[in-house]
Amino acid sequence: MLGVGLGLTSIATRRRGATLWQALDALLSPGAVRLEILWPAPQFWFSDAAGLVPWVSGPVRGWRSTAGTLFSQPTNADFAPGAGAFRNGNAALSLDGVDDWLQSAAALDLSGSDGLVVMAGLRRLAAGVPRVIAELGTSSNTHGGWYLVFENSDNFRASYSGRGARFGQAGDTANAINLGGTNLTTVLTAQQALQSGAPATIRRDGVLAGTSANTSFGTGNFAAGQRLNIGARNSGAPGTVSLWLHALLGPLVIRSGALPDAATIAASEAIINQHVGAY
Amino acid sequence: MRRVTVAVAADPDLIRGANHVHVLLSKADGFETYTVPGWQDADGHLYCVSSGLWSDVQIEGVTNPEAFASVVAEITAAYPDLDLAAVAVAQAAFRWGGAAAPGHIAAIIHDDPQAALALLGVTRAEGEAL
Repeated sequence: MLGVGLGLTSIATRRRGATLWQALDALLSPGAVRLEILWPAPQFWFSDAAGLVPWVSGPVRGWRSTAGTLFSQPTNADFAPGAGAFRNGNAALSLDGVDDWLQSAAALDLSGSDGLVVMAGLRRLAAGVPRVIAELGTSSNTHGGWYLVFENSDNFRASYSGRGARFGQAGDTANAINLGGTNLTTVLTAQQALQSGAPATIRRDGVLAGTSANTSFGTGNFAAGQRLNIGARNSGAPGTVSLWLHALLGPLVIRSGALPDAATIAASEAIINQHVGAY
Repeated sequence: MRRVTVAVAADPDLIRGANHVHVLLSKADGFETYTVPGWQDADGHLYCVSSGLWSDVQIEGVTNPEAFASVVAEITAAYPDLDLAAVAVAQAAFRWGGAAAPGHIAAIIHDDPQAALALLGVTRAEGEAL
């Protein structure tokens, strides 16, 4: 059933003649210091790690955000995702859960603000072990980094690493956020302003799913010199990639800057949902 | 293209050979496709595993050196460290279909990587933690 927000968004999108990603960009751009929208469509995919050869078929070795930032599989075609589709037929990046992952071609500088919103639309295809959706830095201990993960068979976690704000831990009101089921299509949102004194929040399918117990995140902004890894943890050396995601990955949004208002977040989630068909 | 999932027995010569095959097939930019044997069979034998999309030429070429004969000179020029003797060791150990086994490189063609892993009979050797 379509919610009111989705309906209004659809109408607005059609009226402007904009694509979904353009509508999402228009919603999230105001106030953003950095906005990376990774939209799953062949026009943003490349067959080479340098992001020069437009993708037609086979491994997707490069994925450019709508801002032009390149994310790629730097070493191996077998480690590159393929193209897939959600049940509604819309395009998705298919990560095999064995060895697929992408990485920003350069450090993703998020130091311009202490506010961060990460949004992901995806269909999880395997559960049971921790799996990284996206992570800034080389591990959960990267100072100023963050990750968005499936913690185990049922739980979803967002963490602002090195800041002490985690979900799914004892004491958090969001402890054990149960997603239920393996073949799960969902839209996830994590947001936090580190120095605001407010708890971090996570949302699932357009609804608040939890708030962190922790509101003390120290001083400073997110990291400037870390790469963003998609679909796995990359600890930085050969043989140290792990926690591979087995999923169809749809839109992935990383936005730094003052946090958008609730209506903007809801409308953005509705656009992502329009692509992935989660709710 | 078709999905190919490969289990390389944890033998240094096979791992080295398989890494050189990946470069010969133009699938890898370096000799690091297989590094840590992070998978095991029911008997505890260890393997390196990969899964990816292969072209028909790559599928044929992995067991047929003649399929790449015309481009070997070009590839070895680009990768002077490419060891064709190591490639031959891997090709001799290569098997299509069937479970992973010590002394062999087993490969399954299957669209579903998880189903391919089940056919190979391998699982992650150790639990992973955040």
